[in-house]
Amino acid sequence: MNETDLHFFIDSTVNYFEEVTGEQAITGIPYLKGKEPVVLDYSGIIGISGKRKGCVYITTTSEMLKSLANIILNDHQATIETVKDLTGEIANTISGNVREAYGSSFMISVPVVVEGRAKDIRLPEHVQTFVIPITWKEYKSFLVVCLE
Amino acid sequence: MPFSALEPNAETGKWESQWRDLERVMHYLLQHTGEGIFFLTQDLVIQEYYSKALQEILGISNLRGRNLINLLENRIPSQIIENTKEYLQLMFRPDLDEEVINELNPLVETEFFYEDEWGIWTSSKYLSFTFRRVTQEKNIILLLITIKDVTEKILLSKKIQQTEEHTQKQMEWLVNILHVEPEMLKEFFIGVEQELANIEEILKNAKDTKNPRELIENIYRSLFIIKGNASMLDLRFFTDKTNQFINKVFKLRNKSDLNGNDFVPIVVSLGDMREILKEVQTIFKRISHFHNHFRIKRAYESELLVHSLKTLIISLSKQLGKAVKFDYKDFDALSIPYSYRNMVRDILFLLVRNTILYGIEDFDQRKSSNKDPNAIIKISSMINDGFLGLVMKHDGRIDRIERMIQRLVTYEPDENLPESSLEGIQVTQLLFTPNLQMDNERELEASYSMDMELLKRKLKEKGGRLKITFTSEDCCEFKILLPLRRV
Amino acid sequence: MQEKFKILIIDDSVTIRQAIEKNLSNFPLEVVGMAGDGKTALELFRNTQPDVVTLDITMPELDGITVLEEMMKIKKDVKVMVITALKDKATGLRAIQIGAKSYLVKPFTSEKLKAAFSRMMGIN
Repeated sequence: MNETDLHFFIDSTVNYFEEVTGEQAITGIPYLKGKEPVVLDYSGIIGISGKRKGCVYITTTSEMLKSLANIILNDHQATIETVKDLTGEIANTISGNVREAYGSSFMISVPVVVEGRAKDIRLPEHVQTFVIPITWKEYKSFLVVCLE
Repeated sequence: MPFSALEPNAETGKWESQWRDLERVMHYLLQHTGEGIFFLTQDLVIQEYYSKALQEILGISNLRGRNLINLLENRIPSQIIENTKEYLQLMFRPDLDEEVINELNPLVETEFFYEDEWGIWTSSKYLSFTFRRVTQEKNIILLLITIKDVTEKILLSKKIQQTEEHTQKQMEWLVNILHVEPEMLKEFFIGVEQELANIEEILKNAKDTKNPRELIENIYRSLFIIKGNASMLDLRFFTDKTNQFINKVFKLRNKSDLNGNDFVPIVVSLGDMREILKEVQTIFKRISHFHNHFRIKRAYESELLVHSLKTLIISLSKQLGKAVKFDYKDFDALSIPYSYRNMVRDILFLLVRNTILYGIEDFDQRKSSNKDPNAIIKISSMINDGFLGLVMKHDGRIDRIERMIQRLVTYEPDENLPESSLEGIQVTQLLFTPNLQMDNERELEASYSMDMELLKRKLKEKGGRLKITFTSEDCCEFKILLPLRRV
Repeated sequence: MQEKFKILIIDDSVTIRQAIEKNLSNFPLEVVGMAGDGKTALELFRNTQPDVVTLDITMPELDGITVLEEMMKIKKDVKVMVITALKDKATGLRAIQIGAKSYLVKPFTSEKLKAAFSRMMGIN
């Protein structure tokens, strides 16, 4: 992965929050993922295939998701199902938007949603993984990108 | 239809059975050949007879009557399509030599993109087209086109090229590390790991920082250490890579408003350095058993220290047009305790290098100042009262240091410190204040003060002390005292 | 009384389905079904014969492009708005070539959805 790749994902993420909520998300200083897990309450994982192979996931707190669901659905009582579903949808949208840069050879899977902080999400060891901290309102999330 | 022009004259009849035989043979060939074969008219329409393999190669059936250019569109870049149209027009011109035109074939080993039923990319193939005229009575009636799938060949040659480049790179690294003593190399790797881990921690914990400039300074410090250590061991590829990284860090210094995006080049460079370190360590592991077999003895290790310093002095002074004599007769490497050996080596390397870079004048300057054109660097050692003492003396130009200090004062104004009172402790303090400067002229001071900062850290680790003296004989002396631990 | 158009909402995200329903609630629409995968989408389409469809592309079972092709065979005059995260031009062009009348890229605002829907339906 190079700087341009990372910028595509950062721009896609910032654009997502801006379009959906009207409020900017700030991306923090990115870093390389080590052995420690980067997992919050819910994680939406997208597999990438085609000319580039890898994995992208967003991991965030249930509070953030509830706040987002409140804006999208004007619903103050988002259920766990809604919250889980939204995780996958965020990951799907961020990854899908990156296709504008890479073209149709950048193929994304249907999202998989993982609940809980119990375990780390397994990523290919031979590929470097970048972690991008995201702050939207007072909520913290991470976008994790692992791409050949 | 063009093929009717090739059919026998119905009136003669006697040709008919031969023609039928030929037709059978042609059908057989077209069914069984592995190449895509077809005929094209001047209006670029594919004719009735084509090979079965053509359908498989292009991934399209029912090709008869289809326009070749339409089939190529969306599969290859538009510029190649334009070139192909022009090329095909030329192929139908009888006034032009076929062999000459063939040199302009735009479809030699071209990458074709294949889509699924969604219209979305699924795969790529490399195809090679060859074109031949079919003539009758000097008229060009058709083109015979052959398509070969050369994907395997192309991918293999790309892989070979990548492997060759990679191997070449590894060979350069190998040659670069072979001259370094294995223990020093291992320590270097450990050092680099530590500093890279340090940078990773800095980035990871960056969200808690209120001062991004401090982050940059800390990252720079780690890189400076790596660069310094790599230079000491003359690991050029590492020095170069670190320099590139440092340049990216420097660029951030000018930015007034730093945000997460600005650190993207930093984290990517960090990733690159990690990769290089990993690869070099792998190479080292492979050759380390040779090193172990020919392991050097303690006495030789001590000689190696002096020898390394000599090599440094000779190469650096040659580079800079300076002449330096090295006096080490009062330096007893064997008396230095083993656990202090690396620290002593690091300290002396730092001091000697900085002296040649900043302290000693070049040959002509010394002559014109009525000084011996050959400068002297003298090192000595002693053990006394539980302390290991190291002294490095040189007879370089003292006023250059003063001028450097003055410049440092200008950049870090201290109203309570008039210039005339610069001496002793103030000098040392100023020398040790790291100052990240930008333009080339100032980079020297930045580098010098960073080196001194590094020295300070090393001494602190062992509880050591440094004293700098400007003696009356126009000499500068660095004296270091390291407490020896009781066994 | 204004005639209501029958609408089928297809997206693998329940949040998006609900958001679409909510945002289009001021239009004369009757939601005849919602589907979260391509297979269910086609079954519902056959059974309900909607006038309008909003259709995602990346879905389990059957992808949206295949579903769109089948829909065009079943009911050619259905108005399909593709709503997808896939921002590349090839996908958009393909969808329009097959027969979609509108194409909206996620993330979308309420205003963008309503504006695109109004244009497709010819409604103010």
